[in-house]
Order: sequence, then structure tokens, then C-alpha cells
Amino acid sequence: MTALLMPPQSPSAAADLAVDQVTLTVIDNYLSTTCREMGVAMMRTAYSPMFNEALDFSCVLFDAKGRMIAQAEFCPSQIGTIKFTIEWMLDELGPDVYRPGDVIVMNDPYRGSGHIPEHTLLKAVFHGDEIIGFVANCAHLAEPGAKAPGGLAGDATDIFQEGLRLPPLWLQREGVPQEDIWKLIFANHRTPKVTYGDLMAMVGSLNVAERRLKSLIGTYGYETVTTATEDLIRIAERRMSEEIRRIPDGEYRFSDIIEDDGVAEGSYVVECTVVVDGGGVTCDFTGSSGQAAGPMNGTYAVTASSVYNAFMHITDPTIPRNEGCYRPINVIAPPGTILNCEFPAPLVGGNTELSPRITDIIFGALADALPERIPASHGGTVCCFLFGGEHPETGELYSHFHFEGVGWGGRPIGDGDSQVIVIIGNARNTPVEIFETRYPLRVESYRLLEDSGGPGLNRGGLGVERILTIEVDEVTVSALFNRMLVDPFGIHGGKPGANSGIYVRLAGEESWSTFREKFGTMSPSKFSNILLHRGDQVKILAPGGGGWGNPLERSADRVLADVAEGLVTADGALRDYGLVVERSDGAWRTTPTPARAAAGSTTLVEPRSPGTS
Amino acid sequence: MSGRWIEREPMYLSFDVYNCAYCGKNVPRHVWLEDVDGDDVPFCAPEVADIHLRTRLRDDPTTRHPDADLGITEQLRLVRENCKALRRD
Repeated sequence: MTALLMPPQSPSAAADLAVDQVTLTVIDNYLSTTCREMGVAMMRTAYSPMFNEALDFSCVLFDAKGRMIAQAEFCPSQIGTIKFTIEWMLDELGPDVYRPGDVIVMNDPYRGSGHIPEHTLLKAVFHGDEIIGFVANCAHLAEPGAKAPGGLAGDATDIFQEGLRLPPLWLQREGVPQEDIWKLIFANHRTPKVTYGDLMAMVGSLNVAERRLKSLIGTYGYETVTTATEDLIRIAERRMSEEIRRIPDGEYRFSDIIEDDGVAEGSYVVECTVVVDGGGVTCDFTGSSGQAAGPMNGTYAVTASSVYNAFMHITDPTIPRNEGCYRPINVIAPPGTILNCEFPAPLVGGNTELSPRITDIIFGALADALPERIPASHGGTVCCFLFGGEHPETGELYSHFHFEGVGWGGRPIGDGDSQVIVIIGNARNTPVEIFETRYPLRVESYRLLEDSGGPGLNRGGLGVERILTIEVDEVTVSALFNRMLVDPFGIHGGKPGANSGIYVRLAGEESWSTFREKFGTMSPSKFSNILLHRGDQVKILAPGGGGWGNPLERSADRVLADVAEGLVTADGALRDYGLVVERSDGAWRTTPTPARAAAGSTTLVEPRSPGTS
Repeated sequence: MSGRWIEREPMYLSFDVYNCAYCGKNVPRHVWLEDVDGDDVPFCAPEVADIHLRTRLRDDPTTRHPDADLGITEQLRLVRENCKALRRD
């Protein structure tokens, strides 16, 4: 059964809505489903695993005024930024330039996009001669023409090293492809065939949405649909305000560190004051560090998107996701800081590494105000590993952006999830079979990393270890990681999760080294264009999530189950949970240490056979 | 308050981004330039410039506005009503 959009217990009941709630619900679901269908069209028709496996894209509908009216459950960072991207495109281009069949592309972060690899496509939808709305999607192209294959150069020093920057340009005019623009893009991307397939999948997705929007108006009429979307925006704004009103008024502060920027030594402070006041909230980042020399900067759109993402996670998920739900959330990001860098600063890592940190910082700030909802820090890095070269089987260039899942933070209601893509992504990993079929690297191992989850009453989720072997004469690799030096934090007495890492072992060597040790990169976690050869190996460690609550209060049953399942080692149980776990004669036995006993967790578990937890 | 609206043409030979001095948002096309001590300071709307002058500069005695006591509730309400970053009605 579908819930009412305006629940009857809501203080601001649905008295002034112009459309009845049943029709509103049908239209809201139709619009959201249209966005999902757009995504399915892209997934099934695109060329790259970034689209058809990772689902690193988002699909959104706007009304004729450029206000978001629907979205689906795709990539949160893109959904938050696309609001600014579309606003900029409509303002820069002006009102009278669109014709039926036009498709416009844009990826410029200094015009509201998240970072250069993410391309936004926009199409106006007409009813007669009148624009009745805009359909748009945003997707991460695997190859943006940057200095490093796959983009995301961890040591870029300006935006021009991060790829081909496109202001709003017509890919199609009245349904006719603009060949000059396509040629320009193809000439600057290492993998033009993949770019072509992915961009055409995006165009097809817009066509699906256009048909659906016209069909909706054919069924209900333009007046009813526009009145309904006005109501839906109003409902979303009210309901989000009511959710924020449940947070006690006050000023809440939290800060964390970006460990380095890939170019210069030194770390950056991200500081946020969250001011909750009635039904509105302001997240003020005044006091944060100045912009970075390397690519760890964010734009205003990235910072705002991350803040929105945090509040979508801790408020009622049934609130309609449209323009209205963002209105009660204000963001102040001073220009020239790491949260709102100035042109032409590099910023490709802001959307992957800074963004999840901002979301965790909002959680950290509100941990005491909303103890029943806030989790500990998750792994908080995309673990961007990029590689490319010439494929020996095809003779063509290839490039790929590989990312890992991380442990998520322990929660008030239970342990954090293990190996899930960062909070800004909602993407999927690429299956080993697809990975090995498409690229000349072999996955030697891929496993959950024991003891990587931050100890806590509710444990952080586990990170993973992946070892890759190069199977061709030469591959160019790059990386952009964070949390290699700064821990994913625990809350309410929980301990940090394990750090990330990326290491290399050249063919014939026994031990692993950082890329800094082996190749002299400035940063161990951010670098570009390192040449590896046949037999060389790369080890990726994805971080764990922070713990929630005092680990000494975790029941012996749960610790024992973790040890039996290989999630926590016996050493870890002793060190972090104060519990001696032993197995003899096929039975497990636990004994609390004095520290655990002093903490009050004296629960003993009867000996039992393994597998019964 | 004194200032003026400017409408930027799309920039390709030079690329200047105006950030609203209140919240930092990039302002795409229509920019309000407020005269603050002889400098043109960009905002997304004159109402937001007014809020900025009444609040964020309130601790600086040289720029202190006589109505510097604007509370956060009123600030938020005015910003929500006026800032182009938040509303496109």
C-alpha cells in the first residue's frame, strides 16, 4: 500500500492542496518511475561498465521553470549537483533557444557540474509550441580526456588537466546530431567508441522521458499535471521542514581532515557549524581551510549536494524527492575555500573524496542531537583506481575508473554494512568476470578484510582487500584515495575503522610498497600516470566504518559470532572487545578481561558448537 | 544599500565566476553588485545583500549596520524567499 503524501498526523495537513491526494500520489509515482525507466534504458544500451554495471548515472525531471519535480534512487552526488547544473544551463542559454529535438551537453564544474567526468544532458519537452518541462540526466563517462587515462588525476594542478571542459553545447539540433561537436569530443577522448555509446545511451534515456512526460499530459492534461507538481513541491518542502523541526534547535559543530591533496604536503580542515532553527537548517563552512593546490577541492554545488545527501539519509525517506525537499536546507560555503574553490583550481577529487567527508561531518555534528538516527563515519573514500593502455586483443585504447565498496559506520540499530560504495555514490562494483573480460588485469583476490570494521557496541562494516595482477606489457595507473592517514571516526565511544591503502609489488618482489616509496610520488594515495608492467601487482585496501558505542558493551554472543565468521580475529576480540575467545574440541568459549568486566559486560556464553551463532 | 543589477553575457574569452558573498553560490547570469565601502560585491539578489550587511558584517565595527540584530530565524526566512539558489518560482 502506498502511504499518503501528506500524512494526516502532519501538523500542516493537506488542506490547501489543489489536487486530491490519490491523483497526486499517482502522478508522483509516475514521475519517479519515469526516472527509473530512464536509468534502465541507459543501463541496457550503454557501452561502458561505468554505466551498465556501476550505474554511475542519475535521471531527473524538471518543470518549465527549471525546478526539479522528480528523481529516482541513483547517484546522490549527481542528483544534488544537477539542480545547480540545470539552473546554470538555463540561465546561461536564456529562455528562447530550445527547439523540439534539441539535446544540450555540459560538464563544466565551474558552471554547476560536480566534476569534469560527469556529463549532463538536457532536453526541453514541448506541448505544442510551449515548453512544459525539461528532462535531464547526468553520468560519469569513463574517459573524459584528462591527463591520466580514466580522468581523476590525483596530482592535477588545474582544471585543464582534468579533461575536456564543455560549456553548454548542442549535441543535437531538432533531432539532428551536431557532428562538429561530436568530432571535437571524440578527438579528445582516448576511447571515442565508448564515449559515443554512452552518450547515445543518455540521449535515448532522454527520449524515453520525453515520451513518458507527454503521455502523462495526454492522460491528465497540462493544467492538472502542473498544478500537481506545484503541490508536490509544496508537500516536500513542508514535510522536510517538519522533519528538521524534530531536531532540537541549536548550533552543532564538527570538523575533520582531508589528509593531503596529491600535490603539496599538508592537510586541510573542513569545519561545519550546523544551525538548526525551527523548520530550517543552515550548514555554514566558514572557518574551513583555503582551497587546495591539488584536486581535493569542491565547488559550491558539490558541497551543497553533500549536505542535501546527509539530510536525505536522516529524514523520512517517503518525502517526495523534488525541489521542495531542498528548500529548508541552506548552505554557506565561502569562496576560495576547499569547499568552494575558485577557477581554475583542480577539483576532480572533490566530488569523490571531499563529498563523502562533508556528509560524515554533518552526521558528526548531529550525533548528539539525533542519537537514534546518526551512524558513525563510513569508509568515506571512493578508492579511485584508474588505468588504461592499449588492449593487446583489439589494438585499441582502453581506460577504466575502478572503485571499491567500503565499510559503513555502526548505527544505533545495528552494525554497519560491509563493502558498500560510498554514501555519495549508490553505485555498484564491477563484477570480477566483467572486469577481467574487458581489461587485461586479473583479480587475484577479493575479500572482506577482518578487523577493519571499527569496534563498537554496533561494529563498523568491513572494508575489502583486492589484489590485481597486470597481464600485459604495460599499463598506466593512477589513484585518488583518502582516509589512508586519517581514520574513519567512531561515535559515542566507538572506535575508528581501518584506513584505506594502495600498494604495489613489482614482478619478482616479495614485499609491498607504497607508490611513494617505489615511484617517489608526493602522496601515497594520490598520483597519476605510473607505468606498471606484466606481473606487477596492485593491492587496494578499502577502509572500514567507524564503530558506534562502547565496544566493551558489545555482547559476547555478537563478538563470538564475528570471530566464528572471520569478521573479527581472536586478537581483535581481545584487543578491542576485551574478550578472550578460544576454540577447543570443536566448541567456542569466551572469557571477559578485567577491563570488560569493569565496564559491566560480564555476559558469558556457554560453550557451543561452531555454526550455531 | 546601493547597488545595481548586471546581466553577464556567456564568457568564453575570459571566465569570471561571481560567487554570492552571502552563501558562496556561483551566480550564473543575473548578478546584483552591492557597493560595500567602494567595492562591488556580488550577490544573487539585493535582499540577500541586505541580509549579508545586516548579519555577516555585524561584528566588524567599521561595517556595522544599525539593524545588526537580525536573528537567524529571520535570516533563514529572508534567504529562502530571495536567494536564487533556493527558489525559482
